[in-house]
Amino acid sequence: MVRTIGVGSSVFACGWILMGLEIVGGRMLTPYFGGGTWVWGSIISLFLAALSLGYFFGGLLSRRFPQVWALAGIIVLAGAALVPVALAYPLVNERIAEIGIHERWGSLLAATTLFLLPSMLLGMVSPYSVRLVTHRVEDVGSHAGSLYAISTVGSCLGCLVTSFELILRFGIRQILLYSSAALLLTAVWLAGTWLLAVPRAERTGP
Amino acid sequence: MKYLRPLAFLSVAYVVVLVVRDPCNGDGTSPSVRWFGNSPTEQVLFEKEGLSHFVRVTQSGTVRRLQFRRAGEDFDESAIDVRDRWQFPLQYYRLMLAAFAHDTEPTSVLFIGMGGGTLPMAIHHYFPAVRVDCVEVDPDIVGVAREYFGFREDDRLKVYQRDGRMQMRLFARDKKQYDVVFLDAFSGGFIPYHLTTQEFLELVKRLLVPDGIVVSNLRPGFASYAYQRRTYDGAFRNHATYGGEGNLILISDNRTTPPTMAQRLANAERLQKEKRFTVDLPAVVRAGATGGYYDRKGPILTDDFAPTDVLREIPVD
Repeated sequence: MVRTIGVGSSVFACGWILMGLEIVGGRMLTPYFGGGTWVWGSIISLFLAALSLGYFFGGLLSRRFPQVWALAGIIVLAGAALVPVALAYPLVNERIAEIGIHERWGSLLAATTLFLLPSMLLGMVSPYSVRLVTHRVEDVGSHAGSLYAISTVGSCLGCLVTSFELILRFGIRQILLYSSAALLLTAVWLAGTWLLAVPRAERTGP
Repeated sequence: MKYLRPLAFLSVAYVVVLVVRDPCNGDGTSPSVRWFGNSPTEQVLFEKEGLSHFVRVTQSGTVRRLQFRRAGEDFDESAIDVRDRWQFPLQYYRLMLAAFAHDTEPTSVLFIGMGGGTLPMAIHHYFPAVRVDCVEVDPDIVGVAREYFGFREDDRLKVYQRDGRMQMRLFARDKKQYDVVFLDAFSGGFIPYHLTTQEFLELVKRLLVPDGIVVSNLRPGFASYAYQRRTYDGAFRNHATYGGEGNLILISDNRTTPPTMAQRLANAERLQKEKRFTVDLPAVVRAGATGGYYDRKGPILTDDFAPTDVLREIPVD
């Protein structure tokens, strides 16, 4: 039970931060590539591309290293990947904008440079967590369903709260750094709750 | 996984509440009846969902208007009198001409946001030697300006179709400079936030010659106004204002000796004799601004922090 809550809440937090990042991303690119449909189209498609990579490689990795340490490590990496983004995004955008390519391609290139790594790492979390909580093949569907649902509820709230509240209260850089810190705490929480409880399935062997 | 269902329920309930509270969907009346009613004399010439706005061109009597629709309201962005295109039906055009009391002999001007192109055309007409560059984000607006507002480009009047800030960055990279920059990019009653921040004004400064001036069309009726003024205060040394009701024109520069009121009036009178504007330019300069007060202490707008999405909706008393 403790492990389920640990994994569930971590998945929730990662979903929240992923969509918060997407909303903040729009504000990061707008000063350099305009506030139009192109910027949003670039960001959303880049996030989806990064997620699909994350799902795929997350699934592969979970087969190779089915330990909680690996998942916590991925979350730490995602948090760490946000720090250079927070510090260097104006510089990166400036450089790309000055190439002078069309806003469409400029915003897509900037979105890729800034968000590919963190959003791909966050995409790995869901399939990985399915592997961690599942011990019997009959449970795969229901566990996957539940975890994706929790992750998406987190994304939904992260999206709303970031766009309705956080952007208007904090600066972009602050939100990114808070998100990074929140991911590090999530990783600690995940590992901590996992260690705290040893479920029956593992006492008797997998 | 017991906690999943209540969580899912709560998030769905939240979304439902938001949708119900939305004023545009809230009261069940058909928006086309309630909000978009045309006045009986108004004729719609053009309507299109453009790249960044719902664009329409209407005509009542001899006045043809370019409007953007946002949140159920049609905002006038541009207008011409089809009988005489140098009559300016919108007050802010008349106010913006005050720029020439600050600089009577510019050689190059830049417009960010061109709308129907009325003012760029007027400047091209009154100051034929001046190089006029316009930046407009929406290709449909450029089309509408050509089709309905008689906008014609030539070697001294050019349009760059791009986001204002992005095009300005390219101009800065290419070391282009202007004597006067007109900031008139509106998106249905408000200025897009990335054209209001400190970083943006730094870019404006890079595009100005040392004695250059920036002419901004602001809306003192909204809470964002004070933030914008404070941001300008940080970027420029001298400020003059004109108008005040609905639109306030702010003219800012970094000159060591900005023109005094007497000099500006003398400039206006001399120009009026020479150019014969339909507008009484000396009267505009003499009237200056009414109101437009703001608190000089407080946050400014930056790319990092620009809560104009809420501020623009808050009217000030």
